[in-house]
Order: sequence, then structure tokens, then C-alpha cells
Amino acid sequence: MLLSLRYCLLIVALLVLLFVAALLVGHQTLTVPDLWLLVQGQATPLQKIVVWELRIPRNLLALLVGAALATAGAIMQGVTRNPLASPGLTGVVAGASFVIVLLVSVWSVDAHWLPAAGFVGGIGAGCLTFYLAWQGRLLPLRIVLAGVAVTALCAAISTALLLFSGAEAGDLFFWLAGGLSGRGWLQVEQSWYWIVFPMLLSFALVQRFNLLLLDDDIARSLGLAVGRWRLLFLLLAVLMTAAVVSVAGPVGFVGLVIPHISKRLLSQQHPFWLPFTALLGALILLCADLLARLSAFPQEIPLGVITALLGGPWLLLLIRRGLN
Amino acid sequence: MPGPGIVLNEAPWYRSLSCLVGPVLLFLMLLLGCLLLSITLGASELSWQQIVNLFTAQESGHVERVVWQLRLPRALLAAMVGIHFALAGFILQTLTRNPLADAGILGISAGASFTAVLAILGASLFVSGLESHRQSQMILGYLPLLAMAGGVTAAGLIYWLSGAARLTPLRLILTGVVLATILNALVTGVLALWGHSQTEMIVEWLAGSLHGRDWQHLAVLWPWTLSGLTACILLQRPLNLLRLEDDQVLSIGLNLRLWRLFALIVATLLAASAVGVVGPIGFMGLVVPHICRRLSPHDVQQQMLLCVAVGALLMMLADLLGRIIIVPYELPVGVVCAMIGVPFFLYLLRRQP
Amino acid sequence: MATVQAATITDDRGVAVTLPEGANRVVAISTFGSDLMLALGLKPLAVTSFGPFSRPDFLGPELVGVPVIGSRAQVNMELLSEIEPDLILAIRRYTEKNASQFESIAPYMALDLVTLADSLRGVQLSGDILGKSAEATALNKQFQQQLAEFKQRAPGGVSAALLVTSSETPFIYHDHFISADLLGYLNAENIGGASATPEQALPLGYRMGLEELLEQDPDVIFLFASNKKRAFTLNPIWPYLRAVRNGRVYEVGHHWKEAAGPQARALILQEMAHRLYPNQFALPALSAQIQSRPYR
Repeated sequence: MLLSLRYCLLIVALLVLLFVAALLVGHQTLTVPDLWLLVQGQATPLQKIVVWELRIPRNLLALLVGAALATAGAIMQGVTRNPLASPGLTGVVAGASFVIVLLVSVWSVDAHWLPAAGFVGGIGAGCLTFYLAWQGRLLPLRIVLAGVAVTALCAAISTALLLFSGAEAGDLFFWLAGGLSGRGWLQVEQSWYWIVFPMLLSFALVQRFNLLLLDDDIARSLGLAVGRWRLLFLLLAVLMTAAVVSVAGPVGFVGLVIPHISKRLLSQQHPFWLPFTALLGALILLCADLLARLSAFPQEIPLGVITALLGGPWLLLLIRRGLN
Repeated sequence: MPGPGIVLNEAPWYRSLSCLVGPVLLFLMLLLGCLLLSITLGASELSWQQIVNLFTAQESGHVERVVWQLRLPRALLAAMVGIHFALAGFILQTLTRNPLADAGILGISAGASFTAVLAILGASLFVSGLESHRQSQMILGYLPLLAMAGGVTAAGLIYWLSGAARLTPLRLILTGVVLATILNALVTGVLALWGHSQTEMIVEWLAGSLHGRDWQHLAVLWPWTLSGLTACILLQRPLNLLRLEDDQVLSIGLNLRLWRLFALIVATLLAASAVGVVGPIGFMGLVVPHICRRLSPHDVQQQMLLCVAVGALLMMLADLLGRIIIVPYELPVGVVCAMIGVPFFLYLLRRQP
Repeated sequence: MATVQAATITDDRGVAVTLPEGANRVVAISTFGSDLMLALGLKPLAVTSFGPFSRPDFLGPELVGVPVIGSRAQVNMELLSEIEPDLILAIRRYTEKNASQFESIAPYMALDLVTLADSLRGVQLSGDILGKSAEATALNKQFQQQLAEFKQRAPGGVSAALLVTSSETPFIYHDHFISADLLGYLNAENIGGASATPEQALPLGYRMGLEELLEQDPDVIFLFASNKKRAFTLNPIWPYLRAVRNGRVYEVGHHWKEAAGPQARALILQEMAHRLYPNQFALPALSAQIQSRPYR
């Protein structure tokens, strides 16, 4: 208990430090005294706009995205008892991508509506996966297979659409690479409740979650309606993932890797394991976004590339050592 | 214990051949019919008369060009590529004992895509000056080989990462999936960063398309087809045994590691050479082996022969469909394959208890 | 339009293209070809689209009825062969991969169409092979005179940005892209700046972060055609930009992207001059479809 408290404090401290650092660096570098002036309201107008309208919302969005992906991944892996399950497992990411590609290339829909449409598309794909996998009950293996099919179908149609989107293709690839470049308050406003409320609900239902980690029969003997609760948790994960994809595009590996790291630091049965995982996810994503902003300055590396390069090798190592 | 379907003492070769004569003839007829359809149908309408005249050398110019230089090489290439993907998928599924394995799963498609995108973008860097023409042309000319090299490298990396000789099928698949995901993220990232003025070209490649392919590509591919088919003949018996659990195979006395490595190399080369020429095409390698296993549930030899026939047939039909469905544009064969493949996959899923 | 006349030119690949009997049946792959041929009083037998859902509307009604044989990156070879052209006038970047197939159908001329120099050379070379050398020279001369005249009249002291795409971060063109180059001829500063590798045509520009855009704060912003509200204009920083505050953000027609053709480049120059210096240059008479309009 004491150890986990120490970890939490350490992560929170790192989070605050990174948050402040991410406020300082960028096209115009600020110093800590600058920031102090800004808090007192004495900075230049440009500095004010840059910090309040660009860097703060972007950092907040990074925290939300990281926390949501990590939680969704943890739920997905726990509930399907598949250590390689990712938030995109249920076809949510591909579904959201497909709807956005469709709207941009065929109907040229206003950017304002894209996140909402992507969200609906993600949920739709998730539900389609559940429908296809449903056979009286929801078996983890069938969810995986149905998810693969839904993902493949969405990806194939997206490819065809990309081919005919002409000038918009470049834009779509920018979106498909995932990232927080140019995102701001608008995206935070559009997505925060879809992320925060499901996340809090999953934290509150931690006892049910811990039972679902066990074998189906054991959980049932302990009086849990396994099928119903599994579906509820999967829906929560789908909601969070769809909200994330619709504002930040497909950002891979976060939901896959973070739960494995947090499992090493804290027991999965610990009542605060899910919040701890979320915190860890927020920290890592903030870090990754900072790297994305700085490593190819003045261009930005897409966030999806950074997370793939950070998380991928780690996962490969994990597989090599043998997953538990 | 060997399952009931696994025949260890094979029947004499002539017996298994004799019961193959009928189906082989049937499939040859189907293939020929499909080839004729591919030659006759297309964006430009040709009559049967014109095509018949072509053989009596009364037609020239347009008809000759369309049939000999556009439709025939494309149809043949489609057939060959279909064979490649089907056999590679069959070997990989047997080897990993996973019905969902195909060229995509070994990271071959992703590796090839990555090098292809780098090559296309790299070639464009030379496009400006006059004297650089040869360099850029050279890079584009070598695109099939470069992409193939990328696919082979990715597969080698996966083999090494999953423990080389000590690999287990499960670890192989997991490593493959993860590496493919990393590479795909890199492809999208590279395109998002630098591909802005070339996405139209690159998307065509990434979708898996036979547009613009001709005899040159056929010349690149046929040595691989030939050697792949030869290797598959050698692989028949070992594959039959590799379906079993590891310790059973060892007890039979098969050199497990060696044959598994050989089978992997064959599958990799088959898939990578095809991906290099037409780009990544999913689902063919997944679906065709399933169909073949249903048509002939027990005999590996028959299944492989069927893979050749069904793979060629389906891919030719898919390309034909893609060519005539939205004239004057084309639907890439990779997309058509997915449209055929996904419903089939779902059907399999529904049927599964 | 029978111009029976042998011609040999060297195209941008460095390949000699020979037409023993002149060009009478020409297919234009890319908007440049159609633009140029119409300017020379010729008509292509077939054209390609730039993404199947769009057509070059600045060329007016003259292309109506001319068959479309695929997109510029994926030409339908069968339909091309059916037309039996005697010259294929193509943009190089998207077609070179299929050079051998084009060449088996008809002489294939590939042109780089990125910079102003490309445009001038492309017009002359195409004019030469189409048997209209003098007319092409005149087109170039007229445009160069116009450039010189506009440069003299333009007061300068403005900065501008050419932003394309509709995603959260805009893509800005470098100086060497022809539309951006024209800014220089109007004494305006392109905040996209020069490319780090000017000897290469690509990349045409880069994605400019909103922080940088805010800091550079151009006087005028040109948004390239897109039928929808762009995501980066929804960002809270957008209203802080000087160009937005002063109402100097303009949405421009499709031809700004396909700027190498003789008609397109002249239209862009006139429109750009007016939008940069409304007092010095009059608004050119353009149809409502392609005219630039204030963005809100």
C-alpha cells in the first residue's frame, strides 16, 4: 500500500513537471519567469494566446487521451483475458476512421461535424462487432475474430475511398497518422464527457472488474452475471476509445502497452489499479506528445509514429520473454 | 495422437493422381474460361469477332494492344499472384496451426509497403533535374524487388525476434502482428509527413492494384512462381506432419526445425514476391485455403493443388470485376478481394460453434 | 486543326519525343495539358480528372463532352488506346511509372509542373510539339510582360500565406511552387519561405503549426479550394490572426493548385494582385464559380 502511494506521488510529480515543461517549449520558447508573469496577467498578448489557447488545451487533451486509452486497454485486456487486446480490438478505431474518410472524401462535410461522426462510426463498428460475435453469450475469442473482420472491412473500404479522394488524401493521411497537432479547446469540449464519465464509472465498478479477471465459472459462482457485466465494461471501453479516436485519430500501442507496465508496478487486483493505469497513460502520452512536437522541429512527427516506436519494441520484448 | 484426417501412409501416387484427373480438367476449363472473359471484357468494348480476327492476324493497332499488352498480361499476372497468396497462406496456416494466418500476419505486406513507400518518395527526390532521369527511373523500375526485399527482411526479423529455431507458432504470430502494426504506423506517418504531393500514386500501390502492370512485371514474377511451385511439391509430406503437435512430429522423426524453416522461407518468398509486384492484397491468402480445406478435408496434396486453381481463379475474377465495375476508373484488386473475403470470413465465424 | 509537321523535342525526362507527322490527336493527362491546348485554340480528345469527384471548372464549358479516361494517377489504358492518340501530353510526377505503357500507345511527353520556370518551359515545349511554337512563345512573352508590369505597380510591404488542406494543421507552400512564386512577383512576402532543398521540386511545402502561423501573422491568407469549413479555422487562435481580423482571408478556386497552365497562371496573378492590393489592381472579371471570395 505504501509502495503504491509512493508510485502515485512520483507519477503525479512527473506529470506536473512535464505539464509545465510542455507549456514552455514550442515555436516560441518561454522561461519560467515568463510563465509567472503570465499567471499574473502581465505577459505579451502573443504569449497569452499561445499558452491559453494552444498549449494548455493540447496538454489537457493529451492527458485525457492517454488516460482513456490506457483505461480502455486495461478493461479490454482484463475482460477478454487477452494480454494483447487493444482498445481497437472491437473495430472501434477502424470504424471511426472509415466514417471520417467517407465524409471527407465523398461529401466534404464541415470539420466541425467530423468528431461527432467519427464517434458515432466507432460506436457503430463496436456494436456491429458485438452483434457478430453474439451467440447467446459473448465469448472473448469470438469478439477478437469479429473485430478482425469489421476492422478489415472498414480498412478496405477506406482504402478505396482514399484512392478516389484526390487532393484530400494527403489530409486524410495526416489524420490517419493520429496526433494532437492543432487540436485545442474545441476538441476538449467535444470529447471530455465521453471520456471522463465512462472512466469514473469503470473506477467505481472496480469490484466487478476484479471478478471478471477471474475464470468465468469462478466469477459466476461468486454471484456475478458474467455476460452482462462483460458487455457493460466493453461498452465503456468502446465509448472512451471512440471519443479518443474521433478527436485525436488512431493513436496505437498506448492502450496495449500501458496496462502491462502498470501491472508490473501494482497488483491488478488492487482497488486503485485502474486509476493508476489511467494516470500512467496520461503521463506517457504527454511525454510522447512532447516528443512529437520537438523531435523534428519545426515539423511535427505524427503522434502515432512516436507511440509505435516507443511502445512497439517494448511489446516485442514482452512477447519474446513470454507473456503471462 | 494423429487425427483421423491425417494420412501417414499415403496411397500409391498413381491412385491419388487418377482421382485428380476429373477435378484438374474441370479447373483447367474454368481457368481457361476466366482467361477468355478477362481478355474479352474491359473498359474498351471489343467484339468476339475482333478477338478471333486477332489470331488470324487481321486486327492490329488498338485491339492488338489491348489484348496482348494490357488484358492478357494482367490476367496472367492476376492468376500468378493469386497462386502466390493462396499457397503462402496455406503454408502459413498449416505451419502456425492458426486458420487466420496469411502474408499480412508475418509482417511481409507491412515490410514491403514500408520499403515501397520509401522508394517512391525517394525516387521523387531525383525527379527535378534533367540528368537525374535515369536515377528515378531506375528506382521505380526496381520497385518490385525493393518491396520484396522489404517483405523478406520483415519476415526475417520476425523469425529472429520470435526465437529463431526455438520459435513457437503462437510467438511467431504475436511478433508478426506487432511488427506489422509498427510498420503500418510508420507508413502512415511517413505519408503524413512527406507524402503530401504523392499520395495519389502511393495509395494505389498500398491498395494492391494491377493497374499498369504488364509483361515486365510478369518477367519479374515467373521465376518465383516456378521455384515456389517446385518447393511446394517438396513440402507436401512435411506439411502433412507439421500440422501435428511438436512432440508428435519429433517422435515421427521429422527434422522439425529444418522443415519449418524451409516452409517459412518458401511462404515468405512466395508472398513477398507477389506483394512486390502488385502491392499488399489481404484476404486471398486467408480465404482460399479455407475453401480448399472444405473441398478436400483430408489430403494435403489435393488441398495444395486446389489452392493453385482456386487462388488463380478468384484473383482473376476479382481483377476483372475491379476493371469493369466503375469505368473509366478502376477498383483496386486488393479492395475487391477484401469485399469478397470479409463476408466469407463472417460466414466462417457464424458457422463456428 | 491539321498541322502536319514533323517535330522533335526533349521532354523533362530528357527523352527525345519525335512526331513524324505532327500532333493531331492529343490526349491531355493533367489539367495543364487541357489548359494549354485550349489557350492555343486546340482541343484535347480526352482528359483525366484530378480525383474523380472534381473537374477543372476554370476552363469553362469547352471541355464538356470531352471524355474522361480515368484520373491522372490512374489512366485507363484501354480507353486511351481506343482513342488512338498521336501524342500524350502528361504531367510527369504521376505518370512516369507507366511510361513504357504510354509509349507503346503513342509518343509520350512528360513535364514537370511545379515552378514558374517549369510552366514557361512546359508551355514552350508543348507549343513546339503541337506545331504552335510562335503562339506558345507569345503566350509566355505576354505573361512575362504582365509579370514585369505587375511587379512595377505592386507597392509591396505585405506578407501572405497559401494554405491548403482542411485538417487541424494547415499545409503551407514554399516559394518554389508556382502560385507562391507569383507572390514574389507582386512584391509580397510568402511566409512559407524557401524550401530547405530548393534543387528538388518536392516537398512543395510543409505543415505549419498554429503557433508558427500566429507568430508570422500574415496580412493576407489564401485558402485553397475545399468545399467545407476547415478544421484549423475552428481553432480559438484563428480570430486572433491579423488577416482574419481585417477580413483578408480568401478562398480561391481549384486552379490555384493546377497553376502551371497559361490560363491558370494569368488568372491567379490578376486575382492575387487584387486581393493583395485592392486599391491598385481591379478585380478581374471571373465567373462566380471560380472567383476567390472572402472566407468566413
